[in-house]
Amino acid sequence: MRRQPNITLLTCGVAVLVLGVLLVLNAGGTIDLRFAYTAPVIVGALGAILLAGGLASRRRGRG
Amino acid sequence: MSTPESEGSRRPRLVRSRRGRLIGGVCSGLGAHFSVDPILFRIAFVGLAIFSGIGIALYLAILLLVPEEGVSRAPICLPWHGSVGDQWHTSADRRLLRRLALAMAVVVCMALLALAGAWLAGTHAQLAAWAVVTVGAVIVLSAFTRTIRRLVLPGVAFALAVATIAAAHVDLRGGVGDHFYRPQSLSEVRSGYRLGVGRLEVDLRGIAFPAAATRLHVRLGVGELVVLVPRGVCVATSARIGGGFVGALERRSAGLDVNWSERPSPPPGTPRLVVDGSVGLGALLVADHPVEHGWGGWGGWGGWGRWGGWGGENGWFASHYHRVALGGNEACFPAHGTSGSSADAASGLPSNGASRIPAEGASR
Repeated sequence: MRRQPNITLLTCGVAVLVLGVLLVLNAGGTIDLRFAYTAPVIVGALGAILLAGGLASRRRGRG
Repeated sequence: MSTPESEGSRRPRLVRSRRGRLIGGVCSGLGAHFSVDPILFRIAFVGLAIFSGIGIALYLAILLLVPEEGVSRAPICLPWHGSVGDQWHTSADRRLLRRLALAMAVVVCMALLALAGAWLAGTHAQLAAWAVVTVGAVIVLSAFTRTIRRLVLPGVAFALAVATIAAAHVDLRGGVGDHFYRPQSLSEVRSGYRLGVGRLEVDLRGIAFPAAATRLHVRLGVGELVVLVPRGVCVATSARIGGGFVGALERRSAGLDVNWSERPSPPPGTPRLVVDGSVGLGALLVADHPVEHGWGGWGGWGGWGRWGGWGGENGWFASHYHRVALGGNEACFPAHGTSGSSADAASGLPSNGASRIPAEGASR
């Protein structure tokens, strides 16, 4: 049987990947990253990672 | 809850809980002891760790001085605990030591990678951004392969450091240290001065500026940037600060993403100086007399002590700088009179003129 991916790591990886893409666009001058935009994005990403982790551990507990 | 109870007391004995622990069972043990949700202790420890650093020391002290659930004594026994001499012998102690060593290794690895990320982002922004993309891809891959999972936290620390430096527009090129420039004539004044990390001071008080506007570009990555200007010159300041403080003679502002531009209209024939300053993280000060170092010199981050850390009334942004008198810009606004005297007295505002005239243009 095929193993399920680790949802927490997957969410974390996607969040870092998205952040990386934003940073590439910022470094290329396409967008202008500032704390006002970056901070909510990072806090939202951390929230998504925590949520995914919590849901995954809950599912493991049931299983 | 299987927490052991003290004799003659309804409150469970304070032990480090084995169930529901995240690191050493300190918060879950405290929660069980005081019958409150452990998350409150976790928030308190993280808050204390961030704002004063004492949270880490307190956590480690409880970790070492409070026994684990099911174990009779703590890893470190103080004289009043009764048994000294046979410490670090039980398997629980060894397990705790191993866990502590691993946690320390991860923390050190995170700090080193965060520093490397900050440096890379401040010197090679494009490369750092692609490195974050790579880290993200590797973490996604590890979600499927379940390998290199221990490198996830250091990778996230690296990405966050790069994001912080990028958001603050910190440019670390230009060296490290305390740099001081005092040109003696207008021909010696460079069009720009730059420093990566430290304190950059440009003293222009000995210069006779012409009536035509003279433009000065100053750039600093992290630290304190001071421009000393002669009295009798109308000074217009344009400043961009990622995070920190900007004070130009009578005007000042602090916070994140401060973007400030002044456009004074001095009387005809008045010598004019346009200071175009950019600081990633730190302070930009334009004054007509020497100001005390908020940075504290490069000799050991003395500024941190003066800034009073991140919080409190002496906190980072409010701090020292709001109390420092930087001088007046009466050449631009002759009707206002001398700074800190008649105009302030008339308006009833503090003599340092902290909020007397709001900055024009965008702030934040």
